Amino acid sequence: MKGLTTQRLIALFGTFALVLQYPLLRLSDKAERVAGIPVLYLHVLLGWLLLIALMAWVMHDKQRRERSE
Amino acid sequence: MNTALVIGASFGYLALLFGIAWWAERRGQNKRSLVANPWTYALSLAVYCTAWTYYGSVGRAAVSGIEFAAIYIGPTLLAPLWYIVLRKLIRISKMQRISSIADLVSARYGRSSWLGALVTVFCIVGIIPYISIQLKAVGTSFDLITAGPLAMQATPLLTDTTFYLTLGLAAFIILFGTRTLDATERHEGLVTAIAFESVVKLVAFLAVGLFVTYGLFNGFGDLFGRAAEVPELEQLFTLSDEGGPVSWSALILLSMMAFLLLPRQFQVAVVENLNERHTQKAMWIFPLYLLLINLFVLPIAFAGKLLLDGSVDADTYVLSLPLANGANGLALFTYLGGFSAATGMIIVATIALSTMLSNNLLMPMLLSLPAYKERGVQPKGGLLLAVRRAGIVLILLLAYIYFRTVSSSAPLVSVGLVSFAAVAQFAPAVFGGIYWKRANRQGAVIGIVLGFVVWTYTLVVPGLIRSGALSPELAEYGLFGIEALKPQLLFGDLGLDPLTHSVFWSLLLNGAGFVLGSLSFVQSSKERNQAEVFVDVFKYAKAYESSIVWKGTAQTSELRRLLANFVEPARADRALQQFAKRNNIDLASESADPRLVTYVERVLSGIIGAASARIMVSNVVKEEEIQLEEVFDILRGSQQLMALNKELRRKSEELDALTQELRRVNQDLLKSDELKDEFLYTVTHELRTPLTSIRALSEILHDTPDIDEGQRQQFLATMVRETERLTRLIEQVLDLEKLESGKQKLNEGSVLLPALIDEAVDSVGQLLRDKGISIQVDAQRNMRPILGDADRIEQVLINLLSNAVKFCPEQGGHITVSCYYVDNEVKVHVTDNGPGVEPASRKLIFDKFFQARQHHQRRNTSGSGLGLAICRNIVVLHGGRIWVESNTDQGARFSFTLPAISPTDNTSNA
Repeated sequence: MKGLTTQRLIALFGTFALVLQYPLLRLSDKAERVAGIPVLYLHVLLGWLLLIALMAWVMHDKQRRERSE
Repeated sequence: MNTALVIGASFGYLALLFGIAWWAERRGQNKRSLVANPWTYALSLAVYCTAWTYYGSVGRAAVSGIEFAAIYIGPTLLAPLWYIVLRKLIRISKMQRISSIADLVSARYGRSSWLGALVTVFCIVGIIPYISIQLKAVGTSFDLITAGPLAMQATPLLTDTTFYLTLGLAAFIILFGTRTLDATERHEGLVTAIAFESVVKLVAFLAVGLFVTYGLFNGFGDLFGRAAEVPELEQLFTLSDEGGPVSWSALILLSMMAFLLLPRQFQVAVVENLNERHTQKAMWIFPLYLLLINLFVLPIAFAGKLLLDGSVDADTYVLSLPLANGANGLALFTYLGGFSAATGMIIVATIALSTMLSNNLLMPMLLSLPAYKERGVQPKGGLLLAVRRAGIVLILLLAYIYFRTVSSSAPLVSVGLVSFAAVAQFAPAVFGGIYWKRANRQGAVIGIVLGFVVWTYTLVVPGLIRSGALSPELAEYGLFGIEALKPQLLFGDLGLDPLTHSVFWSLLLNGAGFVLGSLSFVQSSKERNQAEVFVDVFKYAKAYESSIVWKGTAQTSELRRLLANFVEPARADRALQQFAKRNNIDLASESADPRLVTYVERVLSGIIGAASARIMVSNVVKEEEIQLEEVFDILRGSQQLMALNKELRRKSEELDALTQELRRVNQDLLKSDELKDEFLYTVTHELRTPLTSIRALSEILHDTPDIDEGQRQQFLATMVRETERLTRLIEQVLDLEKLESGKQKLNEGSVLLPALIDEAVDSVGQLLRDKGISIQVDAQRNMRPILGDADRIEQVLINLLSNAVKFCPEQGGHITVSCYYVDNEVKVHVTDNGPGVEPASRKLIFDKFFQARQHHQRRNTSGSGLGLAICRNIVVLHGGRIWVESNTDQGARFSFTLPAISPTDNTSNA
């Protein structure tokens, strides 16, 4: 199998391909609001943000491991 | 707003772009590149966000809520896979000097010139409307902000600002996009300008967003709250139920493909990429950019619906909101933001298309003209540049004409999505081509043609019907009246929206045609070679120059002449010489080495495209058809070479490790030699002191016979004591030597520690009484016997006890001995209340002659300094540990442990 970074990234893709699509999106597909913001928007926004943060972490960690080698 | 002001701002902005690009080119020449970092790379990728994003997203959101976001979630979801797919595309393109998506397809399928032409034509057909909507966005926003006639009512050409802007852009692209002939060379100025445009459009959009959300409303809560009161708007909080999920997923998939396959994205992501590593950081910067630029889309859409007149086009909300509220400065800035989004797209898309047009369509056509083909005339570089520049003007003019004539009332997003669906047709050929070796030219052609036919029929034809160019009967009754051929309900009703319907059928037939075609036909050897090199690019990356297969005869001078047509003769010579040196090729020989032929072809590929290079080279050489077996032999050879290299490297690494090990052992040896010397020195020193004293005393006795009796007795007593000390020292040295060398075997048997402690205390009883020291023994009485050498353990105990006695104070000395069983070990402590041991000495105290080495302090104490060393050896031999704990001035506690092995269960070892 390929390196750790590749596996992590594929796992991220798989996870968020589920999080940001139906049927999971259905969970928040309703006309309610949390903190004033419609839940569907919140769902998409937070999922999006989390994916970005995790990608940044994976790449940062890769660099860190390369440096320590 | 004042028309002159807006025109001035537009052209001023364009002038600023010229300035930035020029400045960046200058810096690049001085090796202070602005492009060589992941931030510029990520920002240049943001050319993905066009005027469609800037104006159109809001329009889309006002109709179907959050659905617009799918277009940006797709590339975000794809980002983790850049590491796998984009990296591979970049590696292949650098190796093969690929300059566009058409070039990539052409190169992969055996440098097929007409496959490249096919892709080019489809790209142009698919992208021209997309460029034209950028012009439309510029025109509409201009009209809106100057409060001119809305929606381009036939202004004459010469007074149309958009026309002059188009000309300005053409000048910019020609100036900074065709500086060099080599299409694979980076356009530093251009990329910097694009990155700058990305910053402008983001800041402008955020400014409008903040103005609307916090200026016109009291934040998100207030805005969404007011929207919730209007049923029509509240309905946008959810996705429409019917078909919503399918459209959402289809848009995500479509945008993922478009992100890599759109000519302009391929240009910035692959061709302009300076360093593969930039993709790693851009992987999260670019999605973050997408998130930020979309953050305020929904608030602006709702605000427009709530505050503006129902007749205002939702595509213009971004600009209308500040205008309607009198924020003129912000409106101008917003207009420039939209202008930057549009120009960025136009610039990069035009560059990409013009490269394709010249390298993959016009040049191959030109080269097949009789003048070039038969009479051996070779086109020059100047011609190529002229063709490329003409291409730029042609594309921009086509887009402008489309904008002026066809430019339907279709919203921005719809036109963009039609383009997305067009480039998605390259997905099977491109991704199949880089992961599937069997994929072949016939399959690619069948797939792409089928895909485009279906795309045209299901997406373009309905548009033409709407605009009245075709009869509506077609939509109602199907082609030739066949029910199953209705453009928007192909083969029956699947319950899909028109876009998803088209993407589904076109990609399905495209993919099927590609796979079945590839499986039905056999690849040529040339194509097979390319397939190998593409799919296993990471394997061949280093051995590439030797893994190209070519057979035939060619003349070195001919090749040189060919190259000199497009590359400055001096530079061409230098490049050839370097290549020859690297590969041990003799340039002086008239018949050219096959590797030289492939090298020239590759250099030319970067300039005129893979297919044209193929034609030009084959015009000057005599090529022989090569057998498939030979292809494999050569490829296998270069692979074996690499394996051999790897093996050699591994061997040399092993050798290095071995050398290190040897060096370490050698150092150890030197150190132990030093220790031996030190030991000998200390022993002889210790021997000399008593010997000197004995000799001195006996000399006195010998030389003075009349010495008085009392004195003689005293001398003799000293001599006896010193001799005893000598004997003890020698015995201990021998003992220690035996223990250390391993010659001493333990005489193991059953040992009852409490009894042994009692015996040891008894043997030092006299010493204790002499110094008036009290002793306390605290041993676990019911302890089971353990396996050990009783005499040796007693020796340890006596040693520790006499040591304790030695250091106890003259008055009130006290020693405690404790012994107990814990964790499969027996632990013994001997504690005194003497001066203690300094922290620095606690480890060293068990070393040989430690005491002797410190003799300047401890001269008065008797003992050889070997006792503790012997103790340690005995304990270690039993498999135990020995150590000392101490607080200075509060006594010392010597402890040792012995493993509690019962004598019966270890009889075999005993």
